[in-house]
Amino acid sequence: MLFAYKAADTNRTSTTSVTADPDLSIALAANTRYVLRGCAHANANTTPDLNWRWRYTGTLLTAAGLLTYHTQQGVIATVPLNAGDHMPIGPGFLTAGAVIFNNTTNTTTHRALIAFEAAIETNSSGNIELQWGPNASSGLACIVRAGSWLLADEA
Amino acid sequence: MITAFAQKLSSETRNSTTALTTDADLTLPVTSGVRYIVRAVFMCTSPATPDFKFRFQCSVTGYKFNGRIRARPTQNAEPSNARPCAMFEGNLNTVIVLNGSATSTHRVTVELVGFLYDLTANGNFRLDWGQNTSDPGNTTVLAGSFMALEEV
Repeated sequence: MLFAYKAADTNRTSTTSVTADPDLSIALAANTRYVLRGCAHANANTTPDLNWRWRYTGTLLTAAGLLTYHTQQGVIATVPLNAGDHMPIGPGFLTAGAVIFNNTTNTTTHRALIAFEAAIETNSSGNIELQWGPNASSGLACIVRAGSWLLADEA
Repeated sequence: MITAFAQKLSSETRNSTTALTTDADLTLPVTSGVRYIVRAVFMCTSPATPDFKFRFQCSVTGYKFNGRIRARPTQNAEPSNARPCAMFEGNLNTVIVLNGSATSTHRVTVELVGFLYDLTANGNFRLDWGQNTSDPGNTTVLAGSFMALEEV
């Protein structure tokens, strides 16, 4: 079992690059089956917004699972949430063409969550990781928060 | 690998009370200094009047939990508020009411997944539940519901 989590927040400002989180990244072997689970929390000022996705940097033979997207801590919302709620993960979802979610409902006080669970079979080795960055470059921070986590179980 | 597991082998019923009390089966010990991935799934039924309320909780002061809850009813025509979703960052103190989504014949399935950490003492992780409005109709958590802890 491989596990990673954020012991402290990470802030990013004045860039629009969507790059790997320094903590939420796990190296996976080629030609191996894994069950993956991850859950990331973030908040951002309204102006920059937040772009993020779960991404595997190698190639996959198969992938199946579900992605969950919540907004606003503490709110028990009706669904579908304006940010999407549940979405299927199929082949390609986690790889090069992975959708980058633009979360426009973040504020400094309202959080968002992007969680997923998937079974995959790797083709080449790579990293499963959270990639993220501000949607608009500004002096204001986007924050992926302490307690966010990622787990990979070899199956 | 799952390191602790609890499952309801028979259904548990409560009525005529709004007390939010711990499920008879769905409680597991947790250890100081250990981090866990938690997964729990329970199914419940309740007549429309009392409604069903619940809360997952850890007894250790200052614990942290990062994760989310999803709830899905089996009704074909779902009330607009029948599918609550919640995210938690820091603790699990929110009490969730399944307004109108569970009936005597239609159950709701609730799933919790998250990361439990910063445990400074031994304690337990548990499901608390009860009726939202006191009613003689039976509110039930069904057999088969489970809770699992995985040390990470």
